[in-house]
Amino acid sequence: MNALDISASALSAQRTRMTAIAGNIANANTTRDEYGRRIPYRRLEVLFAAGSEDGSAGAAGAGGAGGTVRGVRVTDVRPARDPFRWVRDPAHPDAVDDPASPFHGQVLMPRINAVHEMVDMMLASRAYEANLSSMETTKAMTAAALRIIA
Amino acid sequence: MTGLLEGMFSGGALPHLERTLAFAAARHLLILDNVANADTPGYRRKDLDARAFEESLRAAQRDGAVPPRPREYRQLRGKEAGPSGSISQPGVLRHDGNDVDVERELAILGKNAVLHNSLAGLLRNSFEQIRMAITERPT
Repeated sequence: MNALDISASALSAQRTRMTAIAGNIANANTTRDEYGRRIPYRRLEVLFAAGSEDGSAGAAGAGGAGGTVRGVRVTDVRPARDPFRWVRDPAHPDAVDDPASPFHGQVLMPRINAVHEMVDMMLASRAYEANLSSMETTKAMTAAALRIIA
Repeated sequence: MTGLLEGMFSGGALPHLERTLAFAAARHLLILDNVANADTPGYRRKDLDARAFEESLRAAQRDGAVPPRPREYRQLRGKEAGPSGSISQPGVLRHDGNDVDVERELAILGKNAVLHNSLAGLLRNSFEQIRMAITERPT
């Protein structure tokens, strides 16, 4: 894995995280799943692990001594197991309409915390920028190395 | 003839410049990996032992030998590399077992890049001088 590949793997991972966060915010009030069933949206979590995309041990970096550089990869994008929350809203079409039920007039909503998602988004954005600027550094170094012979 | 060519490229500061440049390039990869894994749970930063390299460079200069190749650099990981950020300790914010501080890593990356680029410039000048001597005119 070369220097640009390492940074690119991180850019890709952070973008995946950003996409999941955007989906979470967009679905903050989604009461049904993709098949129309009354299952609220579950927030998606993106899991990272050190290592290359193909799961190989990575190239023995010029670091030598058995050391490897591998970048980062997304191991899983999984629905969080947070419980849903009940919100009182009798006018909602998906509200429980059964006077016998203790949840009469309430609707099951996803547990999305907007503050949590926004903070996570800022972190992802900062990490993205950090990798982008290290990519610029790599390019400057490569250009300097090429000028040795030019 | 071979001897002449060898003397041209193995004399003076050229081998030392070249090996230090290779060291900077190898260290760059590890710091990049640290930045890339700044959000990976359980990741511990990696680094090269710059002090050990400087020692061997100094020893090589003293003995008129060539400094070690990249393959012989010792890679530091975990406790040896030392955290750039703070890991789980009482009263510390992060609890994901990751000890990378992005700002510090970027500072190391910047310093290393400056070292790399100035070495590349010095190497370029050295080659330029050889070229000038061969062609007997300034370029």
